[in-house]
Amino acid sequence: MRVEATIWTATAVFFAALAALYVAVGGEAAGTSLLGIGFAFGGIIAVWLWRRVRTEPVPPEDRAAADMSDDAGSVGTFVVESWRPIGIAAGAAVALVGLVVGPWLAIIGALFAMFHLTGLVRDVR
Amino acid sequence: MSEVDIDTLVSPPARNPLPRTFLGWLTTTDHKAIGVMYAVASFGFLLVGGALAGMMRAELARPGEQFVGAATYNQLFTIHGSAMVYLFAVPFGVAIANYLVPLQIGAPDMAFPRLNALSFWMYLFGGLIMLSGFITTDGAADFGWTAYAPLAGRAGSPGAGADLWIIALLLTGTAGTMSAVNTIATIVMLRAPGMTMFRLPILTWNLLLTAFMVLLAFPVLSAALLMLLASRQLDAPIFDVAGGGAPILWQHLFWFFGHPEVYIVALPFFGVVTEIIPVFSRRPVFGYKGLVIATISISSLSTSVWAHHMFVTGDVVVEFFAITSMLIAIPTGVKVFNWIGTMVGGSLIFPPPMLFTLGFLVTFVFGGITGVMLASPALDFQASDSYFVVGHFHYVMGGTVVFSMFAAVWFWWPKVTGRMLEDRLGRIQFWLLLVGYNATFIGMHLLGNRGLPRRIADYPANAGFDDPNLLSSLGFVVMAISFVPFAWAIVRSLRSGASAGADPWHGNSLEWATSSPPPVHNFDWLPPIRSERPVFDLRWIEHPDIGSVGEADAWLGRQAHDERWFPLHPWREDGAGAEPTGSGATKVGHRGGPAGEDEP
Repeated sequence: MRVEATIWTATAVFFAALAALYVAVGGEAAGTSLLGIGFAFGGIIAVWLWRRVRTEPVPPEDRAAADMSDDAGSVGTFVVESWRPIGIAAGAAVALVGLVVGPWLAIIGALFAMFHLTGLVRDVR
Repeated sequence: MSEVDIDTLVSPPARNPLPRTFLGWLTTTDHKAIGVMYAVASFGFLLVGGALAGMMRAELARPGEQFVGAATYNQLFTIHGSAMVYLFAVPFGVAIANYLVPLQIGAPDMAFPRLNALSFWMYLFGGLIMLSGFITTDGAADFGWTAYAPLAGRAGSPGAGADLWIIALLLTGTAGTMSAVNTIATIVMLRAPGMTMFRLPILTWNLLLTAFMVLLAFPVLSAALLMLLASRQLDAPIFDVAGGGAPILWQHLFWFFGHPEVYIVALPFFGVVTEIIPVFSRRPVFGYKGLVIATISISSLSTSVWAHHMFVTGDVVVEFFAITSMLIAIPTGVKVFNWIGTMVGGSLIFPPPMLFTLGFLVTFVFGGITGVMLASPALDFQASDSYFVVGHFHYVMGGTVVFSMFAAVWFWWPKVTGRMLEDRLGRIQFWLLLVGYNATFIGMHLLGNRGLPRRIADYPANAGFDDPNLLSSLGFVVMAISFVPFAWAIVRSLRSGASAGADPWHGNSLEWATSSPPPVHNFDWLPPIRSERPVFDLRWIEHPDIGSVGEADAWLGRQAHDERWFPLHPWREDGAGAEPTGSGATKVGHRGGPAGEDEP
């Protein structure tokens, strides 16, 4: 976790420095704001990871001599099959095509996607 | 005993655990099935893009307009470029990430299986929407894969094909972003015990950093596309000077996506060859940390070079972008150095995956060198928008992707299917591809040198363009023929391939420690992870010369006991089929303790 946190911190610092340099050499607004966004993105993930480093014990995957049994127990719940992903994707595709064809199609697509999105959220255990 | 036979340690599933029915494929959330679907779909789009390229090469083989007019030609190169970049190259990297990341880090699946499936379907629907432009009245999008404003605006491209192109990219871009989130979450949260960051296979490192670039680049493209859609559908004057907008904004946004994009395409394939070279050189990878740092440098620097595509606009800080563009050659050179360093002193063998890897090295270095040339503004002003750029681009992108894609297919095919591909057919395919590839794109460099601009359907006869164009078209034919032995090898393997066993190549990383094909949720057990080559350690731990130092001592001690293998993930099904939605079947993963302790 510490390595990941360092990487994302370095990312944020890199973008901050690059944005400053870009402004200094006379860069335009679009690039400056995009580099600034890079700083923000990296920073958000870095902060989350550093909080984890502080609050959680070192996980087995970060210990060089860890055994498989050190992490015994539930790894997580994994859905095996679901109609929701293809439903949402189809709805989103139809909704976007509707922007070209006509609002009626966009509404049908959006409703279909919303239906399956609701289903996806409710399926979670 | 000197070498552990891994096949005695794993029991292959009775049948390939991929879905068996059509509905099963539609609803699956298994990372391996989704990886296979990504690979098949992107290969399909490669064939479509290749067919479009074939029509262009047929048109350009001789001067004069023979087959297609200029308007159709514009659609051909637009959809060829878009299909190859957005629908083939990036998604094939996603296929590799999907199939291999969980296997390489000892995880049961991707972190978000349903998000994974959603990404795939959005990508597939997006791709089909892009191609559907050909059946609209005005044809498909025809402004090039870069869609420069104001050409891509409503006045320049009135047809519905352009809107469909924008929508397609919105869908595939969103899919790519979601995949990236999934990959990062998987690598950060689901590694097996002992799999520290600096024991990750280089491929997984590269996929992690690719995902990081996707997160930064794809949303920018989506934003730019929404602006373009708004300017086309709602008359928003974002790129319109008369309304107070700026056409160059599109170029900045597009290339801020577009240059990381070429590394998003390339890095997974750099990872592929980094996995393959050590295996067939029988050596550990040379300079592991150097490779990781080089990858980090490439992915960071890749976001600072975008405007080298815009030198000729005369409106960018030329020095800044020239320096950053040349800087990026340094970590890339480090990688090439490390690949060669891995081979030096190794005991090399050359089955097809290694041949394709060497083909990749040749084309990539060639394309990389012309890239450094183009990073120099003085030269770029001359070569911009000429066939030299087209040749460079195809060497560095196409060479990287096509050669290492086939390297990946030949290398991991036994893992995915449990069958071998026939070496002899691989050699035939490789040499045909190498000859065809170089003939096609060296021809384009010559054309660029002689001043032929890109994106034109016709050229004057006897102006020095005839012979290189013919060479290029003939090269394309050879390249197309090279797909025949490949298809034949696939068919033969699927019908009656030699059984592969868990580890046919004597590999290094964790995917070779499970059966071929891997069971549902990947592993029945995992070996202890004590280095970046756990399967190599496993295979050779009983060799008298190896494994007698350091942490391996502890392992040897445990090995004497019956607790040698700690079973991992004895999956139990909870409530399968009990859900009224039909979406409820889940498996809860338990990581086992020492044998027998974790019975549900």
